[in-house]
Amino acid sequence: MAAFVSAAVFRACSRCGNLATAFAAPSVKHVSRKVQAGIYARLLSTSQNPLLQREPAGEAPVENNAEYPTDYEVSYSEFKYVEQVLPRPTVPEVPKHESYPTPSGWFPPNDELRSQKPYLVRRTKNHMLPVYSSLKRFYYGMNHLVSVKQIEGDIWVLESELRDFLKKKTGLSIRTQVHEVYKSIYIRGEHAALVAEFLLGCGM
Amino acid sequence: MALAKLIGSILKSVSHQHQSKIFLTTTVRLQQNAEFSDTQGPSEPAEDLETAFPALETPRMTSRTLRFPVDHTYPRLSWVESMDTYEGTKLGMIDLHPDVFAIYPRIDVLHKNVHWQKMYRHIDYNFEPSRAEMPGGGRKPWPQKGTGRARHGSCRSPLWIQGAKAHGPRGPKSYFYMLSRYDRALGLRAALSCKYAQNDLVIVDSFDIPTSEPEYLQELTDVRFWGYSVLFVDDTDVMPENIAVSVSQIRGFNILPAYGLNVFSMLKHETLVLTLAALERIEGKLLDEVHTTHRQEKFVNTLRPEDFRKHPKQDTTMLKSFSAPIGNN
Amino acid sequence: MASKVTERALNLVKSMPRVGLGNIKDLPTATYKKQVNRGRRQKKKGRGDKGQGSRNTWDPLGYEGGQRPLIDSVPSEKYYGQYAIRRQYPPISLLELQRMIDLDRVDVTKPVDIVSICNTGLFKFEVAKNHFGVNITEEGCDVFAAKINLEIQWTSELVIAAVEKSGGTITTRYYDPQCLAALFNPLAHFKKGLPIPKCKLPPQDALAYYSDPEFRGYLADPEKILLAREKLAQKYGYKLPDLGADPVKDLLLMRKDPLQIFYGLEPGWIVNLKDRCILKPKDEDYLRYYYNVH
Repeated sequence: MAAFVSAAVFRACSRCGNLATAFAAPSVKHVSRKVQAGIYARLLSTSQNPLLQREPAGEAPVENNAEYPTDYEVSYSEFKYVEQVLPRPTVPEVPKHESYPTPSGWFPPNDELRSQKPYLVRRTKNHMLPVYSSLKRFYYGMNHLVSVKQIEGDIWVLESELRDFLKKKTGLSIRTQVHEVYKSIYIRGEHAALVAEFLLGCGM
Repeated sequence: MALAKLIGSILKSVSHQHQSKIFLTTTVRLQQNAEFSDTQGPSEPAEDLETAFPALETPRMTSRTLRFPVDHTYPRLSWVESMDTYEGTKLGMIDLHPDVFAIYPRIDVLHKNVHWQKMYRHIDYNFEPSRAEMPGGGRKPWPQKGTGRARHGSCRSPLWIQGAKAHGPRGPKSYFYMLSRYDRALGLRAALSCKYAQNDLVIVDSFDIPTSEPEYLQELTDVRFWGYSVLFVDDTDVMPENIAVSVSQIRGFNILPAYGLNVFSMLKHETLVLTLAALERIEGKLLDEVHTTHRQEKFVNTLRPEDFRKHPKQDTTMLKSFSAPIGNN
Repeated sequence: MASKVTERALNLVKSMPRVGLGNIKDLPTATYKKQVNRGRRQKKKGRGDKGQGSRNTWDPLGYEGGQRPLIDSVPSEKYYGQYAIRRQYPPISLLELQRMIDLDRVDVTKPVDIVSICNTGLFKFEVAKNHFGVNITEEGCDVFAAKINLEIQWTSELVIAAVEKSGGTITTRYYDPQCLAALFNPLAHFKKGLPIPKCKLPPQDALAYYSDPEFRGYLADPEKILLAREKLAQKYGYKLPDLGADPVKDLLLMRKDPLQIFYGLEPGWIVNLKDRCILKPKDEDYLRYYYNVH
């Protein structure tokens, strides 16, 4: 505890290395205001804390002789227009639609279908399938790569079923890679649309 | 000690029993657990439980609504304890969000976080002068030809003993870098998941302890098997006086506000003790981070050299030009 | 359904020693940059002996050993001519816009403009890269079904037809870079304590576009826009919904002043986020600057 307090103060004044002045830090001018404010925010106060025994000495007020117009009107009612333009911090839930797919072709996950499978592919925070296609450079050139992420459950069953599906659809040999720690499957080739079709068919 | 054993057996059984998503009252849940624990080992029957725990008659927590619910797994459960006595009372059982307390234990992300926390503040002060900065060495030691010795131009050449170092360290060198915002949040979630999985996470209602003497807290942690080092986390900046005083006197114990929680401290301490308010804050913040609409941007440091300058910067050129007497020649 | 991989890993961790600072490490597949050739015998760093490769003195790009190079011998095509000062309009398709509306990322009960599109966090936009606003592209014009009041910076005729067919209205509007910085991240702008900027008029080469009723320019004559709407409906063969009898007529006909950048907020006002209020300076010179076109 005590170590924490002194560390916080020392961080503020590490340049001059003067801990004695640092304990009176609020009045020390060479410690920037930003850092000074941080000291007070970070200190865990108890009654034994020496910093809180006295009030911080206020700095001398800056003389401002410039003639700036300071007349203004305050409006609280119009703040609602400000709220309209502020961003939402988190992604909202999807509203209920009358019929699916929605005009843009979006499906919600189908709980009945996907509960029959031993695996599950979660939706992303934006309510989309976590299927990403990319161009990746291998040692012999560029290759298309499809990655399926956020897989829960038995990842190996999904991998074999996906490979069979793609083989049947394309007639090509499909090369896949399973990463258990990242919970994802990588598929060589331009098969993002087919993979999405398979997952939507499974109700994911 | 029999009490502690019983709690331990119940805790064990709780970790196996998770299928019920419906919020039961604690009594029902305790009875179920007691029945379940009968199969594992001898313990008291369920009816005697209420008499064994007189404190259970106090009002207790049974449920907690989780934001962003998930369906691929179940919410984790944890006791809420109190710290007013050595053994404490079980005030209830609450749900923890599986996206924060039961994600895949990404040891590699923990390593990344700890490495980042060590390196971003590290400055290498090692410094070796170059051959130009070393004293002497301007003279040619002996003539180029005719002496029969190897040709040399300076006695500070890297080939010479007491010469300079060719590519030496040129400190101070900063090792600052920023881990991505996603990895930082993921590291916190992984650390909390590891703590929960290894039964090192304790949730208490508040840090109110009856005395400020460190012996009380020491005895409390011994009775509850919290280990040698404990990290207490609360939501406020101003901690209760008793715990702040006793924690400051015990080596290995530390207390942090919720915004100071970090991976390094969590892994350094054996047990993590959260208050309910801190739990709400940490879980809420991490869930917000998972579902944020914020676009990740490149990190820009807003602190400038002026913020760390010792004295206000002086305009030396102006001083020089006007301090000398003018028009003497 | 229990998650098998996660569950198994957590169970494994349960029976392991406590995860601490001493027993964590990176994945075995992780790659680290290794400093090569630091030994005694290595002195050429894999760059060979002598020459351009060893000394990094390559010929400049396009140099053909003294011969007149291709870049000089063929006439130039200035595809990237004046690239640095051209206005860029990063695209977003009608399909993506419709998807945002479906997933409730964009609120259609309010007028939709660049602020609401940027606030979703799904649109890449950088003022420093000469980005001057949103370009709505034609992909998904068949499925677009939202009735919205849309205000964008650049678009094509087909997009205008798609929006108006579904009962909405559309405007093209110019913003100068200072306004775009405020529009892209209003919160950061208000936090700085700066007054809401006034919007400048479009530059000379963009004036024709933004006063063209066919592109629904914000400086065009409103009566001519009504005529152009009907003309476009006849061209593409759809029936234009009656705006006068519309229940959300007020929403669809809501427009900003050419100097205004936020709905309901006037240029020159200062937002106090802490006290949740707006400060309106009363000084005459101040108002004369913010309420007049210069």
